[in-house]
Amino acid sequence: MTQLIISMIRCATPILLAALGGIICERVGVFNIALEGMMLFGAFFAIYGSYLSGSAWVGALVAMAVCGAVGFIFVELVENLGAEPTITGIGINTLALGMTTYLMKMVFGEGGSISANDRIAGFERVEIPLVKQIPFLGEIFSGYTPLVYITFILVPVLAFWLYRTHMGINLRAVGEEVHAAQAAGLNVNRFRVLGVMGAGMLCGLAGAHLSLGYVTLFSENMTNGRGFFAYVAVVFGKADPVSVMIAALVFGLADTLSTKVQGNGIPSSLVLMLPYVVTILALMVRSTVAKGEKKHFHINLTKEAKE
Amino acid sequence: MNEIIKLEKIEKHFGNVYANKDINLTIMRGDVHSIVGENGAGKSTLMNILYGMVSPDAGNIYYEGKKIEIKSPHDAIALGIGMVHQHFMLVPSFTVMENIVLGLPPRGEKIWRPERFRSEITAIMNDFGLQVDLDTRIENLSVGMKQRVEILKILYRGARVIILDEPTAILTPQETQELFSTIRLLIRNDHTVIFISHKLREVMEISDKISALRDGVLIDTVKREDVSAKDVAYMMIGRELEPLQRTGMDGEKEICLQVADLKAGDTTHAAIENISFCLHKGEILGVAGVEGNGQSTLVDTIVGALGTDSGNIVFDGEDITDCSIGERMEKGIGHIPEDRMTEGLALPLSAEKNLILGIQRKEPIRKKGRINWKEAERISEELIQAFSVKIKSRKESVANLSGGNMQKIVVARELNREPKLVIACQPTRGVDIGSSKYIRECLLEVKKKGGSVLLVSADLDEIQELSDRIIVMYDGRISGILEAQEATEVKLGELMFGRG
Repeated sequence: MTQLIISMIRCATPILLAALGGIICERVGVFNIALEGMMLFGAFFAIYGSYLSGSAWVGALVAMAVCGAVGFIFVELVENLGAEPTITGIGINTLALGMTTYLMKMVFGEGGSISANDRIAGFERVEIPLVKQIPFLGEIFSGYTPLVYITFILVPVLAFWLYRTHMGINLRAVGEEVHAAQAAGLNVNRFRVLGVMGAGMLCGLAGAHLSLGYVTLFSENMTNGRGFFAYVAVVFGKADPVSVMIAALVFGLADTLSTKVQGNGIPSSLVLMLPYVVTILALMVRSTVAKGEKKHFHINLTKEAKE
Repeated sequence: MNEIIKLEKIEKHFGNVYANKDINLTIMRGDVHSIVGENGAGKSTLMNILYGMVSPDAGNIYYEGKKIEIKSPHDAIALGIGMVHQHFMLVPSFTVMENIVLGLPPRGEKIWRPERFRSEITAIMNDFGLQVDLDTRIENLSVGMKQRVEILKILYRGARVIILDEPTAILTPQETQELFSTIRLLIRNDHTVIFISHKLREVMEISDKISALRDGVLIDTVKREDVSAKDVAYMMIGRELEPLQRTGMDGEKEICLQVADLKAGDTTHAAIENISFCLHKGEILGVAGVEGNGQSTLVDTIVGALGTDSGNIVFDGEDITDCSIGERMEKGIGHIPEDRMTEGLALPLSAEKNLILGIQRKEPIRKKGRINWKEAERISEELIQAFSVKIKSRKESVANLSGGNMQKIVVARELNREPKLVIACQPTRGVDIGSSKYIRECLLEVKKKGGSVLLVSADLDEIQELSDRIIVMYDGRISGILEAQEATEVKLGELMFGRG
């Protein structure tokens, strides 16, 4: 049981980190399906940064910087050059897959995956003194890598920022009713550019957790759809940090179960479907609940196309 | 009294078309100054120039005698000029207070504490009789209340001159009266109001001065006492406007459309319930109500764009509840949709193609499986003639046309099929007076020929002018069905609010 919870939290972390980025995008009104690609970039560049410097933290910073830049390119294309957000997002995702595979061969001379390299440092686990000694809770709360703690601290921080600060309120106004924000004299473009760059950085961190967190390796298409789960979590949690966290934990659980249940006589292909089945179920539940209720924010593609 | 704003020789053109030409206009402090004119007359351009959203090609603006330049709405607000747009600039999920203070400098604080503003806002509310609950979310407010919030917003930013862009277009008669008392309070408190409208009755009621624009030129500025509504209409359109000729209903009362106990609604359609009514042949049935009370849902279920949860629709003696849109069209239902840009027309296509849409699969347009363009030419030329659509050629894309001419194309296409039932939604919204009158005459013509019209409109004048009977919708239900004679404005207004 404790093992299951611990594993769930670990698996939920990258999804939640990317989803926090997704929340920001949704709240500034940019449809960003490129979370997946940005996360993949993050996973690779975290390894690369760690490989060059020998420090996992430097690796994470490199990942954040690169993904922030990718976010900047994405938002410039979409907001200022009029590119179609879905197409651009798919483009970034495809680019990330191709480019990381290519760079892996170029830099490390290996295809498929890189690991077992002495120069790549992963994150150390943090044992919290005192807490560690509490039975049961100690096991659940102690012993994760720092990124896990950072992620779960970011949830209330982001919630406070969105709902209780001037900047957060302005940002929400931009995403929900852009004309009102403009009329109030807010610089919509700046909010969007900075918001998506911030989202990119969070995705970079998510990637770093994947490649430097519990394993120290990078493999082709390592994110394996987690960025899309993150997006679903954002939609499911209506871009509210706490609800999105719950959604991310559900995905984390599904992810965990799909690995744990394997080898219990159930065909592995069925078990591996679990996260995806959860996604579809989540969306179905969401749209049933949403029926008849007012939508606060939603990036309506057809509406934008009309403008 | 002294002058507060003076516009001198303002000129603005887009391409070769003058939107404003040599406009001289003086606004006196403490006046309600109405600017009237048809769509495209240049009212909005002029106001956008004054509000800093459009920069003029030539001319000067003076504020309290000083020559000024207004480069952005920000400048305008700083001077004390505020504008309430036709489309509200409010964030639906925010509270009233959050909306009022949104975007104001945070006064050195990063944490959001709108409470600090409460007493100031309350003081303004009391001064101007603009009572709103500051903690309600915008999405839960009525249109009239939202408008109040907009006015509060600009007053809180220190506006002394308030531009109201067609403020009554979306209000019920009662809400309009409330707005008028607010305007009177504003004037008493030394504010100035610029009132843009084309509703003559309201202009005559509230204005001190009236300026009329036509084709970008300021025709005249007059004092309200010196003129009649007829004079103002003449200034606006440059000719006399004959009143509509209405006929009563014939004695026979055959049923054309019968709706029984209808229930429908989904995520994009407001729920409707318990809807039952019938529409006779040769009758115009008006559907009144504040927008968003289920009228669009009703229309979509009748035309077949939305399925029903229960209840049925009988058209011409036949149950059509489960028929597709195409089948319903085939049976004789014509539809003038609410939004001509997205639902009524294929914008990039030519007038010719738009005019034959819906009949392209039938003789004589269809010939041996292909389109007979000769026939299409004949039909479209005929319709363009008959409806006097202002267009260069039938090959021109409808996207280039003015709202009135676009709407004429929609009406021409739908009536050309000679439907037994026409469902007309906001048929004259955003259409100039001349074309509006023509479209209304067309609907009366349908009736004269024994057809039926279901007229859904937010314009009460239009409903009252055309309908034989009037249904009022409130909160997804029918709150009353009235004979035209008994439908006074007060009675309608009460039903629109669910009272009565």
